[in-house]
Amino acid sequence: MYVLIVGAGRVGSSIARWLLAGDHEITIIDNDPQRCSAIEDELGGVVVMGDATEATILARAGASRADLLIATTRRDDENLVACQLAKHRFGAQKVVALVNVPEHVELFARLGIDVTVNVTELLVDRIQEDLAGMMVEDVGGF
Amino acid sequence: MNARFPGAGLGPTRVVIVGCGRTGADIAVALSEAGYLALILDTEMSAFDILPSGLIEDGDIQPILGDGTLESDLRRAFAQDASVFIAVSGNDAANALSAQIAHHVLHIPKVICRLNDLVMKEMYEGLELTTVSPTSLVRDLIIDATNG
Repeated sequence: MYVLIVGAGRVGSSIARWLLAGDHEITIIDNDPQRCSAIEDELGGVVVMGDATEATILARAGASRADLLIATTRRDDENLVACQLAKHRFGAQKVVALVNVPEHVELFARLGIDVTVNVTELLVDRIQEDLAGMMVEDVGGF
Repeated sequence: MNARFPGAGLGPTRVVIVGCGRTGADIAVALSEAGYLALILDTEMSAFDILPSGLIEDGDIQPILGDGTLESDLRRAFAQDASVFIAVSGNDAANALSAQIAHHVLHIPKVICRLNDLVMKEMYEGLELTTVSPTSLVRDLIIDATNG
């Protein structure tokens, strides 16, 4: 599979490593020169530096042959636009977006984003699970 | 102000403007002078400094501190009751998100989105938004001037 990853932060670079380990082909797009060179040093020539909300940058990253685009930046607006361009201009089969603001989840789904990952909800659920466990242990201690 | 809309029992027609830069502020002034109630959002309080204080004091322009890419902030500004929504921040992606919330979630009858990027402009025209691009306006004016 050929996968475009938008954002070379912790989430984007971890997904990149995982996909490469699974023998998939990837390109990461990020507009920060330092993050780009760090990824390039580690993973080789898999980086396109630039703004993924610009069609020329997506084209340079090979968006027209991408099976999947995963948008992982902290900005919901940029994740949405990158996904919509990939889908409507480049015919990507599937687009996935991290959603940082929970109230955007429903809109993204309605706008055709195939998979939305509600980052805030995931963290809160996990914290609540851990806290619930601790509280049960506390009670059990008596 | 209501005298200009004798038939409107609910007061003047509301326009929501997202982004209080030069463009947003100019639009707010022009529309309030045309009899609209202009509600203008920005995330920076200092952005409102360029608005003429007289129009704010008269209530013709209402500055609202808030994020135009958040449905909750837009509802706080009663954007759901607006007839016109104009996204004119300096950021294309933010404008595209705001305008899609206004159209698909708040169902505002007229939504106008400023986009500098011409590929985005063409795509969102195809996705039910009305778009305006300074880039293509300037291009067309220059071409006209060249030919004229």
